[in-house]
Amino acid sequence: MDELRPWAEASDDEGARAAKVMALAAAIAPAPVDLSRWDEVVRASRPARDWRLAPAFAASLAAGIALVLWLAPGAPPVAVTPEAPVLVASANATWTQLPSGVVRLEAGRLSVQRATSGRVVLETPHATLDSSRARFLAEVTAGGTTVTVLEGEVVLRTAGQTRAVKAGQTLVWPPTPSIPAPLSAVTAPSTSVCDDAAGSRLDCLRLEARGDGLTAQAALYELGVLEARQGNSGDALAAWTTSLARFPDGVLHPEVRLALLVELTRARRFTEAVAVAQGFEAACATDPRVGDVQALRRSLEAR
Amino acid sequence: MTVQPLAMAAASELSPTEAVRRLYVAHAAELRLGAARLAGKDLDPDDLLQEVFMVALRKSHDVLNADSPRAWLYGVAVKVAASRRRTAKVRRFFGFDEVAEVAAPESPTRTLDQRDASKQVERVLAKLSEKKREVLVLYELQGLPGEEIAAALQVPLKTVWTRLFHARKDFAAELARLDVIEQRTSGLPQERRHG
Repeated sequence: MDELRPWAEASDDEGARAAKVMALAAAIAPAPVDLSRWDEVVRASRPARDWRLAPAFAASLAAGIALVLWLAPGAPPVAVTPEAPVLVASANATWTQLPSGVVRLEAGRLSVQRATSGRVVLETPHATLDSSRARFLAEVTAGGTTVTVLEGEVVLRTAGQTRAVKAGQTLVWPPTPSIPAPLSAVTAPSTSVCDDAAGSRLDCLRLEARGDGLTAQAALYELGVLEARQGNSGDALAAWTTSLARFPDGVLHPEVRLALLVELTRARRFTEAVAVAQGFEAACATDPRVGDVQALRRSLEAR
Repeated sequence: MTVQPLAMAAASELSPTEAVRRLYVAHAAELRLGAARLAGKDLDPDDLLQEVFMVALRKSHDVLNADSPRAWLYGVAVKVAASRRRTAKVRRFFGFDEVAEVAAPESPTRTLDQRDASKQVERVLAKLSEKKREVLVLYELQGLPGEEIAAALQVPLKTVWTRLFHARKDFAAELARLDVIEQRTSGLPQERRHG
């Protein structure tokens, strides 16, 4: 809409009458202003504190404080702190907790009993265990780290791999190297002396092992095999170690060395296994199984 | 009277307070009357004028750099008047209204017809909406051009014309209605009043 025509040109009666009244009112000149009031304007425009309000402010402040104190509960609120994990270490365990909260387990067994809140990071020489709200056991030996998860889930991390261990599972890291079939399938002739023994074969073999010659060697070897089959790894290793000590160049020393190597590997005693493998390579350089022994030794040394 | 305060201030390096004082000297009278017309008869025009120039002093940079300082002052006057009207309405509602003796913003040299017309305008303006009253007062009574009204009210120019169009219609209708009521109550013929 453009500028309107002057109102005085209105054609209707109402408009003309309104325009006339408005023109009469508009023609009234303004009353002169007392210019001396300018100073009042300047004074009033300056910000000034009205100290009369100070008592009212103080009274309302005091009333507010009194109200807050009156409404305040009797006992101070108890800060709810997150429940910290409970760590229980075995007697021989070597462990520390860093300022960052990371737990470092060098050796022994550590149990994370409860972690209802927060995250537990457990570092071992072999891996890092990361858990949240989990209960688990961690054991560090020379051969590796064993994790048994009771509740929740634990994530095991190494430089290049990540494994998740769920409740009820156990993981050993680093994993046991695979033993070449020619080494695990080693057999030796059993001694026939005890075939007709009246008591147990083990007692008979122990008795024969005290003797001398080939019969004693065969008895010691078979004694180790039987103990190993029954899960008595320590007794098996003891029998074969005795055999090697007494008959280092005996007829069965290659089989005894291989049996030792396999059992030590299965028992995750990798350092001793490497030593046994090196002994085999030196003593039995022409043995056809030396290649398999070398391969196993290399995989053990790589851990 | 047209004043260019910024140009004056630049030329003679006046202080902002002095430049605003010159605006006061130049426009105080018409602003006082305009503010009184905008706010209504029950509010003290001197108070309104003082508040307008207090704002001008606090925002002297704005008023001195405005394209039209007069329009800027009228813009403040419109806001002050609206605010005072609302406050007065609330005070009246709670029974706090105080009837004060206010100084007349109009010249005492007005004629009888002018006085009657002024009273009628005042009564009709009180019936109009705030937006229509503002544009009618500024254009018809205070004589501001449309551009300055647009600047004062911070609305587009076309909005000014639209509001003025409707304000005139409402004003004329309300004036006719009041004439009929007055005629019935006084018993005088309408022709004589038109005299």
